[in-house]
Amino acid sequence: MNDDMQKQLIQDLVIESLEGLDSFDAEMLALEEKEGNTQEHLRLAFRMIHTVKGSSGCLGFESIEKVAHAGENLLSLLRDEVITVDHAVISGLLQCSDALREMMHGLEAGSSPDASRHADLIQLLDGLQKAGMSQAEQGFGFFDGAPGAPMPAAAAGLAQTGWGLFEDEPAPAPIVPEEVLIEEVALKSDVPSASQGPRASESAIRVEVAQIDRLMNLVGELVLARNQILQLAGDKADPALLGPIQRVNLITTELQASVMKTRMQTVQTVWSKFPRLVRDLSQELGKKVVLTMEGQETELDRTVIEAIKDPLTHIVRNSIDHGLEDPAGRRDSGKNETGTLCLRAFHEGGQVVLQISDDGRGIDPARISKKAIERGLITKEDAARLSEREILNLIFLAGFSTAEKVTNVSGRGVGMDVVRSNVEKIGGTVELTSIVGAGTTMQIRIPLTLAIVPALLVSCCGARFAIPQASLLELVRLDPTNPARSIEWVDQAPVLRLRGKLLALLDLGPALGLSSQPIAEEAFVVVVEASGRKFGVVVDAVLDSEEIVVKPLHIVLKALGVFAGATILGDGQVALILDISGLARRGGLNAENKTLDQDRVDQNLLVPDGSEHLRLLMARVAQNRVAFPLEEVTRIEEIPASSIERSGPREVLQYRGRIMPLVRIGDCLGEPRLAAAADDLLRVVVCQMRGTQTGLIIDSIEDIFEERVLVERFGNERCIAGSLVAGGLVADLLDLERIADFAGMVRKN
Amino acid sequence: MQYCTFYLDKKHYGIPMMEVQEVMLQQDLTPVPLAPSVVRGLMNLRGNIVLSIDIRRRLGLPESDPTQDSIQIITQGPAGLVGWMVDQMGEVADLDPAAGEIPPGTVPAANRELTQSVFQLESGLLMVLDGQRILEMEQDRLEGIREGSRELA
Repeated sequence: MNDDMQKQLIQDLVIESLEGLDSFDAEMLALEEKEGNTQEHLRLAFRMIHTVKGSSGCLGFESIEKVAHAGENLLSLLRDEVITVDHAVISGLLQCSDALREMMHGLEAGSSPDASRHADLIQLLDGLQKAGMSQAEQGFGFFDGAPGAPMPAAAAGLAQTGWGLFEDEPAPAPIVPEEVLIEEVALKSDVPSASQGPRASESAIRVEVAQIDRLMNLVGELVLARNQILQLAGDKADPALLGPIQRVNLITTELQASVMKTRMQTVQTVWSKFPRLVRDLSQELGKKVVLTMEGQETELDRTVIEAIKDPLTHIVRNSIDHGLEDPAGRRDSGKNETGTLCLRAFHEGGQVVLQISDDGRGIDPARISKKAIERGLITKEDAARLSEREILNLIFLAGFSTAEKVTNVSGRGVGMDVVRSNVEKIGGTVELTSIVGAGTTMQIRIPLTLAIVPALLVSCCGARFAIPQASLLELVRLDPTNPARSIEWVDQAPVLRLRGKLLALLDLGPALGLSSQPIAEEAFVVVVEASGRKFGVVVDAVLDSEEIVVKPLHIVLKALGVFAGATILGDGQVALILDISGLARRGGLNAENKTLDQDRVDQNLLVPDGSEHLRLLMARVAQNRVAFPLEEVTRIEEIPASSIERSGPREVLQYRGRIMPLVRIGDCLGEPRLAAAADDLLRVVVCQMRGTQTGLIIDSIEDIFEERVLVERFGNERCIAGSLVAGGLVADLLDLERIADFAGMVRKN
Repeated sequence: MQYCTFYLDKKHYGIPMMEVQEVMLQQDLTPVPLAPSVVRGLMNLRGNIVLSIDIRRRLGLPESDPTQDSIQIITQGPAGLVGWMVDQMGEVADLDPAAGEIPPGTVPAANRELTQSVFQLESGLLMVLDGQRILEMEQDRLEGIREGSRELA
């Protein structure tokens, strides 16, 4: 066997075994929780550890085989119900899987595994067998001695010579009593495991990540070339050429989508580690915790998955260590002894939201602000000005830890700031909400992928820059005739009155050293938010919004700290991507420049019972103020009234190459229709309704609010879920389901 | 060992051939605001982004003639693609690295640090540059500036 082949075999063994061990852990935990069919869990676990044993034995890694063998023996006794599942047995088996994992990582790094380090473990596993055996001795006398004995030399030799290349071959070391083996074979042949379908090896192949990355780069280049071709063809359209160009266009788009899809992994890849983590931590801390997970199938790009792994683990550790109380504490506050930790993942507005919530003691804002003042992170005056939400989010500052005692698990003052910076590095945001005594929720919003992101192109002093949509809040066009839309000055600092609040402005030209001209009267303000700071970036013009392929910057330019990367535009030119947090730092927009929201502070004092945390888009329709649940909204568009077409009784719009049905919210509310001139602009809120993109026509957009509101129902209006107060305004919350009924939309799967 | 040689202000320079990916004519550059003066901008090389560097200023040479087309030697470094702006290409020189000498002490310190070794050719001297070191120095300089501004703040 040559070296390369040996290396390949070892690598395959490591990958296969590590995957197997992860599912082994999952089976063990399910077994301990007594979920589902015990025999089925045991059978799967047995098969996994058996595979590890067989494959490593076949490559001559005797010590790995030895450890796996000890675990397998114990499992076989469990399966035959000679011993019963208890806490000690499961812990032993989990330790066995840890030891195997460690040896696999060792193999990967090139060291040869050493079983002597795990002698204690083998002894422990043997001991567990004997303990179980002695209980069962009277009933099953004939098992005497055989399984509990350490591996006989003859069997070890046999294992070495046996080329168990296929996992289905009989075990190379037949230590278990014979009938067990027969039963195992029978199990394998007559239970083809309906849930698993075809063997993974038949329907899937392993592809190196680097290969997929290369593919992704090529597709990125193809997209750019396609954009160039489209631009050229648009000018001088030769009909004979247009057909093939259209096809290339479509195929490229589909190819891009498929390659992106190949890079996608489910959140489960990260979450699968948590049941084990939660179990170990809760035992260590003497707490009782149930972990529930929703939306494991939510998909993310693998680079994003990599980047959120550590922050998520940290948050989960924190929740168990600080968030959840011990059983006695929970009993005292009238809660169930067992705490709940809930992980949720879902899509919202083109991003993925991950929520980690616990029903623990919650975070007391008073304690946080006290700590923050003690540590000199904020002043007393700051604390008085900050809203409850802002105070809670102080825990993301560097050097903040409220743990009364430093534990093994968390509380060393590093952590939440690292969590935030890691999440922001990939263009995400993290936010904390908490109710004292009821629990804490950490919400992370991240982009689906890092490779291709939606961005807004702006121009400034003749150069073009891209601003990632993730940090974008809104656009304001300056208008010298309107005082609410013109720049005013506080000393040397330009500000804008944005809906009654002062917004700090950063003039991009001078900030980047491109110009020293005063701000043009008709410039644009791009309102952005980063690291909890909201500010306006003044640019000359807003060009377009485009999906851009993010290319990393050379390390020399990273040190500048104001660019997040570069991209190639449709015309082949390079444009820089702005790093909004870096820009804020450079512009001297520190915490003092935060836009403080006095209304919010007042409202947080009066949180009515039964209220829920909602993100709302407020809009006007005739005299009515209506609110859309923001998570249902995908986009807001402005269209000329003349572009509306009819399809049967329905009004429709050609939107991104598809037909989008339109619904006038005015009709739903029984408002009379006013005649519109053909060039009037209509505002359309695009929502996903019953699986179809639907445009809801409103008169104007007012604002976006995010707060706790109480939805109350007074009447029985057709399309309204109830009334609420948000941002000091009364609005009717639209019920999209009923609107879909009203518009006669069919259900699609 | 082979060296790719080129001319800057009629002086003969070289870099190890192993690092060179290709040579191309000057293309449209996107300037990078706030970047050090040696960074001339970014360009698109078949979908990859290349950092274009003009080392004249670091070597104390006069500015290039803007009317003349310059040439970019593209190298693949550990931190990404770099294009070195040069006036004219020279021959490929096959030289024994042991024959190279370290620059004499009379050469200004900054240049000495950028120059790996000096070869005596029949046509004159060939100075072999250390591209990696040049980039590292720019990065240090930038980080120094950032540290400094943080202290001031």
